[in-house]
Amino acid sequence: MQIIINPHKNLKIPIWSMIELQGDLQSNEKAAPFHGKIIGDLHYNLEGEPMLIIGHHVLTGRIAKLEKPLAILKKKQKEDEFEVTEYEVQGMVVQKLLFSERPRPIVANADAIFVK
Amino acid sequence: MSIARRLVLEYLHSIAGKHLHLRYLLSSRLNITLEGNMNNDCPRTREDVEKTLNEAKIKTLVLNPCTQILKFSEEEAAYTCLELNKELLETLESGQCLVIRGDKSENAVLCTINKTFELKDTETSNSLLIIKSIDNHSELKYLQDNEAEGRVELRIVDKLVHNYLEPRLCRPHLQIVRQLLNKQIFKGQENERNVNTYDLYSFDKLLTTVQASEEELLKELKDLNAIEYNGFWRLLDFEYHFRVFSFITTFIEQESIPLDKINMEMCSNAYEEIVPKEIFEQVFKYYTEPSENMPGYYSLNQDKVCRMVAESLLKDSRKFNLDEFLPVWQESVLPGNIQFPSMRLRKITCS
Repeated sequence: MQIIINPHKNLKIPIWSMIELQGDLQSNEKAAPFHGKIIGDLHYNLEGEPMLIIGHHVLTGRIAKLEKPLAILKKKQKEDEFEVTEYEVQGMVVQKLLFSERPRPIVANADAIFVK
Repeated sequence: MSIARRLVLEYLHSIAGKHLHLRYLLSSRLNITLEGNMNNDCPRTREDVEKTLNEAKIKTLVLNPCTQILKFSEEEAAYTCLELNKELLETLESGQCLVIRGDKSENAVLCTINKTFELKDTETSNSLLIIKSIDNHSELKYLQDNEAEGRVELRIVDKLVHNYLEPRLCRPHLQIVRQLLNKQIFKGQENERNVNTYDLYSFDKLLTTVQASEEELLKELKDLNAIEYNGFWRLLDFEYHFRVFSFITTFIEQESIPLDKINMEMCSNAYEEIVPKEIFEQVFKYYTEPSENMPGYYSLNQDKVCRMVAESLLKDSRKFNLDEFLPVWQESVLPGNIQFPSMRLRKITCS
């Protein structure tokens, strides 16, 4: 059996992005848990460091170059089952926004509660 | 339990595990309000973003005024990630394909035109979000300098992945080639009627079965001394091979041709009724090299000839006393034509 990986139609492969979170995202929906869900707000500070706010967590991160680039492949739709399976290169990731530090929780209402 | 206490507990829980756990439950309420919205409309306004920043006690002044809202796509894209080493990247950037080869029972290998890599499915406990485009800071710098107002832009996350394919250079899996070709050995045209073409292998058919790159496979076929006949790669039966070989040496002897001035065309024409030209010429080329002195002519590869004669002698008799063997061997090799210094003897017997 052979599976063909076709190059991108333009020889210069488009550069895509990647965010790496040290942890898991969870959803309270079982079927299709993430479809269409908002993850959070991505900011940069003036030094260019990324900051991501997911729910009540503030994550500060950094830009990290990948040791080796990662190609993103997409499976081609087959016309019939006898056709050879083919993939096509869609893009390539060369650096990532890495959020590996402990998240800082947002405790906005805490003061109010303690006062009460 | 107060909200504050719950948050603290949740936070402690989150840092207790081996990996941090972002126990953020993605809001389904927001999802509902999104119905009917096209992808280009941002679900969060500048006010929403500022409200969150305010709660987090982060001053907007220290931030680039452009905020990117990350949202999962409505349908998960069928993407696979493949780590690229130098060879793979160069292959793709030069517009060539990569090919994954192997049956369901085997570990898949990935081939360029001349190298083979085994594929390992590497899992990571981290979450990788694949996004077609995120603006990086330098791209946003322009906005920062030119726009006083903050801007909010939507970025669609195409896929969440936890694994990627990692290629590692490996040896091609070539042992099977001999096995496949042994199914139908070529014993002469008269036997071809009984041959089932289902058991024959063209180069393309071999590629679908053998886990090797094209160049590695071709080299193996040459090493096995296989020949291409009617579009299929075949191994020659030893007897048949020896017959063709004898025709070549006999022709040279009969016509008294100098060993470095052999005409392939003449030689193969002499036997075209007995041996298909296609086969004859490939065997011929195995035992000769293009002549250095005479362009268009061939010279005999004397080592290969001596080895073939030795092999045929040993095949028939199995055991041979070395002292008896050597003179017989010497006589069998085109007497008088090929020099037979003892150096060559040693070289061939050793190899």
